[in-house]
Amino acid sequence: MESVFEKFYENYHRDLYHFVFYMVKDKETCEDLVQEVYINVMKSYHSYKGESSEKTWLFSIARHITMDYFRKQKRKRKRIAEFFDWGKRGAFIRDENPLPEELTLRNEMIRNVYCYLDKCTPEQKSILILRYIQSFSIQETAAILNFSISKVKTTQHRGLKVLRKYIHLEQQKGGDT
Amino acid sequence: MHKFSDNEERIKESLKHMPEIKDDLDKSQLYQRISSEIKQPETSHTKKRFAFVPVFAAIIAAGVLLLLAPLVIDETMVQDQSEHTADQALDKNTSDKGTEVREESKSAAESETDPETFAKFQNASDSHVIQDMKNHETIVYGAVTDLQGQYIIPLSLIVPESADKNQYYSALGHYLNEEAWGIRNYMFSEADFQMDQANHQVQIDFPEGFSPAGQEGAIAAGLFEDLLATMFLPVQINQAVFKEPLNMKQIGTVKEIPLHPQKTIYKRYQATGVDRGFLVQVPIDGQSDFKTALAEMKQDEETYHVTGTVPDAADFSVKENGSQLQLRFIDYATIPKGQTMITMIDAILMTANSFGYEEVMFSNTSAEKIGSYDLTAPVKVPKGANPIHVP
Repeated sequence: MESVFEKFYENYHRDLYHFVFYMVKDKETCEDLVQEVYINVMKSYHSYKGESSEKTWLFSIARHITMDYFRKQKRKRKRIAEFFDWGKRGAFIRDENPLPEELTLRNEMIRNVYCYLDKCTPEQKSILILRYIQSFSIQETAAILNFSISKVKTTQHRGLKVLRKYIHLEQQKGGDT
Repeated sequence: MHKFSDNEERIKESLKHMPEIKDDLDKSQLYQRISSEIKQPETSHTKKRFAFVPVFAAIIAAGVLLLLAPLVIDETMVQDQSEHTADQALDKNTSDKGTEVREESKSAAESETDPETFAKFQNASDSHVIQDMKNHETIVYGAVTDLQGQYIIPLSLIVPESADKNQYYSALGHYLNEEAWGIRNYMFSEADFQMDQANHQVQIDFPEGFSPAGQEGAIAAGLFEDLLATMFLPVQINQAVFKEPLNMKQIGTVKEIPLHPQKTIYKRYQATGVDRGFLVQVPIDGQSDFKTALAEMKQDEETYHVTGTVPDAADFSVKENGSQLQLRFIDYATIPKGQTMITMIDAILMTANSFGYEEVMFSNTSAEKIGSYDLTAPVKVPKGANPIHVP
């Protein structure tokens, strides 16, 4: 068991951690989910048949676990939203999680992109992270997400469109003030 | 000031330059945590879940009953005024309807323990159609197909009346959760729409290289026309004109498409493993009468995850009086109950609409009121199917 963990940790941990972190944007949650990914890997490694690369297999598990997390969060939020009427303002509320230290030194555009990633759907977000932050190819991204290549392209396009829209609004707001 | 279109490259660059986040989790610490989790016997988890779920479901079900009981009693007092004394009526109907409520609560508790699902059942009617609109609201009609590209799923986006509807035709995809709902992606996200109500036309500007046959999950040319017809015929638009000729592959390049109404029946589609079902249009021969339509609506199509909306045992006599369709249940005992009945009425009303009727009179029914339907009077055909509320 330890050798499986060792192999995956040494080869892919850094990428795995980043994928999950940028999906959930909270270190504590990220650690819990990464742990869950490893548990799944170790429990099901015997059934891994080598049809995809180990990295693709690992990331498809990570993707399932983060999506599951978002589904649970969505249910929680929906219940909370029944008590609070956010109204139209809700759409423009930015991610209020504190910026990670590493982000504070980056330029405004990077900070905005980081914040508005949350306006994308989890699918769009996962594609943007895999494609641009982690430099996966379209084919690799399609294999991880079990999407067709054209779906990756469409969803990527839509995700970028969402970011463009909010960043444009932010720029207009900046221009107005 | 940056141009809107310039931002895309800057966004991509920014994503590529996202910093590495420091991982505070020590490797050996992580391994310890993982191995201790794996070594824990699974039975403890199972036991915990077994203990929690039924208790929680039972508490919710009891809560629902307590909340609904006074409403059921009030409604019964108003409804039943003849034959018996007020006290007898109250006793009888409270008992009957109480049983029905208990059955629904029980089935909800059995089928799902998710509190969200309970919220749906608490809404009394889990209807697939829109009967009434609030003031200052209107509908933007959209359409997608099922995952296999077999049938059309009409969608009704409820938007403020003052909104620019042309914008919503492009943005409709934002309000869909295609993966979670088990439907194909909305095909027109990249297109621009301009409705010309005076000439009953919609002008569509597709992105360069767009072709329905070349899209992800290509669909047949006929289905593409039907998608547009589903979206625009309800707003009296019967011609789609394309800004640039559109390559329809099977039928060549076209500049415009006339949109024709066609008779369809409505069944229910729900992909495997998703929690939302939709009314779906199933084409029927243009010469068919409503009796044939009802018979067809009983057929399941398991291959496409489509189920009939009229139960096998249900039997009707069918008459028409001008624009009114009259359906009489022949055998009182075969009338479905609860959600099945509501879905059946939804589907019959949508089918009646497609056949050109304006209202449907149901008679010899088991209940005078079900969900939001008052069956003592003719029921108007719905304004749309599969509602989506814009937040």
